[in-house]
Amino acid sequence: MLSLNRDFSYRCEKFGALLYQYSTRSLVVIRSQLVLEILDHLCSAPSTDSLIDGLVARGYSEVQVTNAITQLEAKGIVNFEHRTLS
Amino acid sequence: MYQDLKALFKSGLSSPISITWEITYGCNLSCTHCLSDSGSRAPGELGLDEAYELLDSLAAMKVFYINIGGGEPMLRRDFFQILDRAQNLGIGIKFSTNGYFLDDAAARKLSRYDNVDVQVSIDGHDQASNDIVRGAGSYNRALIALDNLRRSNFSSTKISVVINKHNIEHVDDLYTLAAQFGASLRITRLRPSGRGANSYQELSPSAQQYEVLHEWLLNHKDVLTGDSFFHLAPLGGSLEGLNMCGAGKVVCLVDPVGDVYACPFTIHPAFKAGNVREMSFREVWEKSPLFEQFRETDGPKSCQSCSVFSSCQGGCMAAKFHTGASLDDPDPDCVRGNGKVVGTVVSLRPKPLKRNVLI
Ligand code: SF4
Ligand code: SF4
Repeated sequence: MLSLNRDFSYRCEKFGALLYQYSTRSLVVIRSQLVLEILDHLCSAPSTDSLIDGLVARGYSEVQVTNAITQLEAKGIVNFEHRTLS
Repeated sequence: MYQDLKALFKSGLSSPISITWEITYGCNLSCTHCLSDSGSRAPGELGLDEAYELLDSLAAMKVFYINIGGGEPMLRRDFFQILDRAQNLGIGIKFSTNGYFLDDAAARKLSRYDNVDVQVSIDGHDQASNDIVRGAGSYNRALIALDNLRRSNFSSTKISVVINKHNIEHVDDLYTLAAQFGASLRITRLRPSGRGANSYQELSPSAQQYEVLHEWLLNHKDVLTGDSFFHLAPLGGSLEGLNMCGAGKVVCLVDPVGDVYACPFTIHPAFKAGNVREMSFREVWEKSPLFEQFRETDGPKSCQSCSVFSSCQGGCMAAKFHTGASLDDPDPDCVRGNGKVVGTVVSLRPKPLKRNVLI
């Protein structure tokens, strides 16, 4: 399951979204609509698959969505929790 | 990157990036340059329920972090309850303390929070130079607090120094001192607000000293400055931070009685935007005519023709105001020598209570 790393916080502004990183005290402006939608749906989507399905239903290709998620993960902005089945 | 942000932020954000919240005017010390003229508590400081309400509205507005100050914030008995609430709401906290109440137990407690920074105030590299500003014994107490934090493996400690004409000569020593405690160094500009208004001319660094400091900062990018030296930006090179006056655009101050001011250095009716007891914080931020005005202006009139206006934007509003200049004048420490100190305008905080009592 994907979640926003606790080191980050973000919110929407009229020019996109502002992402703040606590440990580096840095601010970044996010303008990509796709990234904004991923961040917006992180909390509400029950699983990563349903997050991707939801975005595909809104017209993005699966490749676009997975690439964007991979980049967010590489930058440490989102965490991918690997759960072991019990 | 920050250059772009400056243009985007000039007309104000939907909510502040951070606010400063002075949770009490009560303080056990009486530093000569105290920005908020603290000492005794003010009558009617916000109680815990009101503090919770404020935190809830800041969280709803997605304010990223709160700078908690005072007075001495740890004097409030509900200090950790305030921190707990902020933590549960996901708001970061940076708080400034003189360290007197930061004992072992407090340090251990602090190390259990996420996104909490502690800024221990020190104003000199040794006891003599610190204590002359902050009072006898304050240097040692600050070092004990720093040691407690280090032993508790607290990872976000800062030593916070207000730069004056004496300690500016010892920034290297201060840097080493911070490193000894595994802390970062944070230096900020002395502004003539609060009791700083009276000590400004006596303590303010010279133009030459500022030039040397600017060069030093360019070589020490890990030193934090709270974006407070942007009036030096025309000297060249790029300092970290937004390099703009954020008052009412990206930051503001909530004082202990709930008054909202443009920034921590403007505690004066001329800069008051409202009170959180009379309307919600959101309403003050969104509707204050004063903040609207700051978001619309293009900077001081007399600076518009200056060739370096885009990098310094006329400097710090609070510094001008408290030295008796008009907001349309250049910064009193204008690097082009256009600043002037006309007089002293003191901050007007609520009348203090007679006794200093724990809350
Ligand atoms: S005249 Fe104004 S813009 Fe120019 S350096 Fe001085 S304060 Fe900055
Ligand atoms: S008035 Fe001065 S201290 Fe206040 S936000 Fe502006 S530059 Fe900073």
